[in-house]
Amino acid sequence: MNIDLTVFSFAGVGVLAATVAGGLLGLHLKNQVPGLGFRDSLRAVVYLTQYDAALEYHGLRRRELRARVNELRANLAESAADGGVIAAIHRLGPPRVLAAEVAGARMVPSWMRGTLWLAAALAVGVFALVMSTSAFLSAVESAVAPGATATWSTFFLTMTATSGQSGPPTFTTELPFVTLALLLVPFGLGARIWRLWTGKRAHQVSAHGH
Amino acid sequence: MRTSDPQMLKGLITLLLLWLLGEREDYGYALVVRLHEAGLTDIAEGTVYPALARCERAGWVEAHYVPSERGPARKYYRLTPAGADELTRSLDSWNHLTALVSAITSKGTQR
Repeated sequence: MNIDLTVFSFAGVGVLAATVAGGLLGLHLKNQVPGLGFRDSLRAVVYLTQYDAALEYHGLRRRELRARVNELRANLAESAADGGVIAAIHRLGPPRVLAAEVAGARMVPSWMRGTLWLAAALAVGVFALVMSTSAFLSAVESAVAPGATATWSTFFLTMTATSGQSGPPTFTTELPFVTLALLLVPFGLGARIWRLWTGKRAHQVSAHGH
Repeated sequence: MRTSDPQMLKGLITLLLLWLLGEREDYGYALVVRLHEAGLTDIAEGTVYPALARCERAGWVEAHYVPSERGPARKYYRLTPAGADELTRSLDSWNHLTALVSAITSKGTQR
């Protein structure tokens, strides 16, 4: 697999930017409150998105969760007319507290939240990989004769770079599928422990509340 | 202007909501407005909506949706037979409590 780092970086940034923009647009369309100006609409969307995420953490099923968020959207649209969005949001209190009280303080593990954490961990890993690759290629470019190759091996992957005659070096990466599979093992184990732990805690909270 | 004790109001919010819904079905923000119009201006939406959710979970109220001219449909709540029973029980309890408090405070023992 030969990849030009410049193309890789631009494509990666482009995909990341498009994903973030698409996600923000999706959140806005999902949680927008009708009849508000741009700034107020943004405030309401931020609040409702936090409320949505907090409800999900409290184990509401998707359908009930959407119903709760839509109910608050409808109420917020009306209460914002009475003193503005900032005052309306202030009267609601922090979204996490409101979600906890509406959901009845149940706390259960959330696959979506776990996936978000996994995505964040992967993003950090990809960033570290890109930075390491960049440093490796800079070293190859400055220290290796044109046309010569250099190899860099780590636990996860092996990278071989060939110093270009006139342009930047090209590189090949070997990332065995078994490595990817091994990465899923701690995720699966961690998720299982996490579900057991938070499930026990949720039971304790529920028992304490009654 | 006289203000209400928030803790006391929090304990009474379920009773008040069941009473209002016994009068007629309504949605969240309209119930807040009705409470404010009755003089309970210290009650905020952040107190009323969770109380409605608790009543719904307990089966004291049931919800149905009414399309709105703009925005998402409004969620209207109405009292169930179990809610009516709970309202009667809560009112009895409240009347008993206020009678006791009146009996104690009307003795004139306070300096």
